[in-house]
Amino acid sequence: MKRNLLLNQTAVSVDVNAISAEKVSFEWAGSSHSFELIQRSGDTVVLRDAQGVQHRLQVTSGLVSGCGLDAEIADVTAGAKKKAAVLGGLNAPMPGKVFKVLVKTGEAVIKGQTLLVLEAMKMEHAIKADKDGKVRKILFKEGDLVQGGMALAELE
Amino acid sequence: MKIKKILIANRGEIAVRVIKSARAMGIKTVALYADDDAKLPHVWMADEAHCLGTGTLKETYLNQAKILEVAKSTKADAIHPGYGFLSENAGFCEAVEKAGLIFIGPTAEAIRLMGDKIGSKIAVEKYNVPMIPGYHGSNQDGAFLSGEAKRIGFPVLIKASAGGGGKGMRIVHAESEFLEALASAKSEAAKAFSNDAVLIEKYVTEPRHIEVQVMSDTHGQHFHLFERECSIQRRYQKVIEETPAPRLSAETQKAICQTAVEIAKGINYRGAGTVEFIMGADQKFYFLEMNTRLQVEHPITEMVTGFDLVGLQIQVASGEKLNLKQVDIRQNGHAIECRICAEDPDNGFLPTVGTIKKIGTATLKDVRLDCGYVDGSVVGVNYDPMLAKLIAWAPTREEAINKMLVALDEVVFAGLKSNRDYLRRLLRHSDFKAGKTHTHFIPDHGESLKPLPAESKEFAVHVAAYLLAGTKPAASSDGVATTNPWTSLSGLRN
Repeated sequence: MKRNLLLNQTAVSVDVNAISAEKVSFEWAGSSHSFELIQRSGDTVVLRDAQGVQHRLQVTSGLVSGCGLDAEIADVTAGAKKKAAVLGGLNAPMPGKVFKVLVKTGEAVIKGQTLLVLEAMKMEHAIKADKDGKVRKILFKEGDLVQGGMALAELE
Repeated sequence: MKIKKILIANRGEIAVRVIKSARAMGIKTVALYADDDAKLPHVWMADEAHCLGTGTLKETYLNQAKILEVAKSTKADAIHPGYGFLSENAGFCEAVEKAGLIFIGPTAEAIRLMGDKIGSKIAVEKYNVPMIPGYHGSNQDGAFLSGEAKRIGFPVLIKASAGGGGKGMRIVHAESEFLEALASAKSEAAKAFSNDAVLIEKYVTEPRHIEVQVMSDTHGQHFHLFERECSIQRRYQKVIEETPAPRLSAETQKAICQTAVEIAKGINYRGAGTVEFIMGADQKFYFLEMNTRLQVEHPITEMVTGFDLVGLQIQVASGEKLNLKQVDIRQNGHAIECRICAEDPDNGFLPTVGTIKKIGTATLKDVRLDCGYVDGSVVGVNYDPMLAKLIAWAPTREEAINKMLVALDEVVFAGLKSNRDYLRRLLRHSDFKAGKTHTHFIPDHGESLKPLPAESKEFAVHVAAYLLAGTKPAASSDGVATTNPWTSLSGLRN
């Protein structure tokens, strides 16, 4: 059975050969793996691999931490796909406040030109044109609060 | 005067930190909070808590009049400013003392003197303190400064004299780039600090940031509690700190600590302070600045010396003579601190927000988590992105690194993107393990600090754990990937 996952925000797929409450075997990164769940206590799980090596991990709300690595894992759902599809172009890379709007609607801009400046947690971040073009729309004014990922401007 | 009640003019982890020391000393505490912080632990951990209302920082945590009003109405006899906010505000220190209260910190005079990058250098020069070649004068003429840069020798660093946090700072490699860099540094400084004065210094290559903790009482005693190495930085802010500093000769250590004590003595300092130095590959060190407050990274000093620095601050503020001798202050073992921040190191260290669904617990001995949040706390855009400080102590540096790696595996901050994975990459880096630390470590090792590709065999066990946890697709829609707008955006990037 194929499972489509997002692992650290990257779409991956895993071929699950067999799964029960205590055991799982699957194909991953070009080889076969099987693990046995030998202990579960709160968020801590201990898995034993085919060689008998035991791995201790924390599994909490989509975050799997252990063995020196973090993996944020989630199943790919229709909702997640839809959300990803509306993003793109000139989006806020972080939540914050629109500190400055440097261009006007209709203005010609060149690639790399700063269109807006966002401010959050004492830091400023310039939103730059990703191509040459003309400003079709600036979607926020100075002082507006924006969420990370929101489109800020449109170019044509 | 015996202090009976302390008002803490701060929030989050440092407020919690002060509450703990005060409680251990039998002193009551008064917490302050802005509306959006009402559910944070520092509020319910204190003996009393008062709301500062809503609005900008000026109206809340920086609102001196309101803070003094609460101090009076709650009959607090001292104010601890923590770090940041009003901690290095000489005017606030004066207002507190004028109101008949104790300011747990240095004198207004010391804050003012050390707060000015130019003034502080002129002041400490007379105590035989090594100074970096530079120009710290008041002549701000472009042609003149360009001539000074040439005299000092390129590369040079232009710095805002009222600055901090990297604002108004430029590295100039050649004379031809100087005037343009000067203009942009000045305009940034004017915006950030309402003061465009700059200073010029020799730029030290592979510089290390080494600082010394000092503690002075009001009876003429000045001590040092050894050095801290804070070279691992991003955006000019520290990420990993440790003590003792690796690769430091016993001679250099003695000299740098003694220099810091001389400065404290010279300016007749009071309370906890930190003298920061820049050190080149040749182990030559130069005075950088003095921070007239408790530092974020003070716990590592506590771990190796066994002292409670907040406790000592309170003793000094009460007017006590510290019952200490310099020879009795020892540096035992090795301590490392990691700053866990709500940010994405793999995308320009941009801050992230969200609700902390779960904070993990460290299980090993001598691991300490200083944290101002609990499960369910909301991390917003209004405050610093630091979530917590994780501190590990062990007899040796190698053991301390290993212990920290285990602690970072355990102390999850589930629900929002943090730099935990990145911290582990730093700690595992061969150059870090070898102690080859310098302030350009992060930019210089950009490639080797990148995350593992998603489809790596190392993640097999994580995938197995996820599959076995039996998370249904429906349940996962509440997970990290879909509720945090920032992580959805990152999804697009790949």
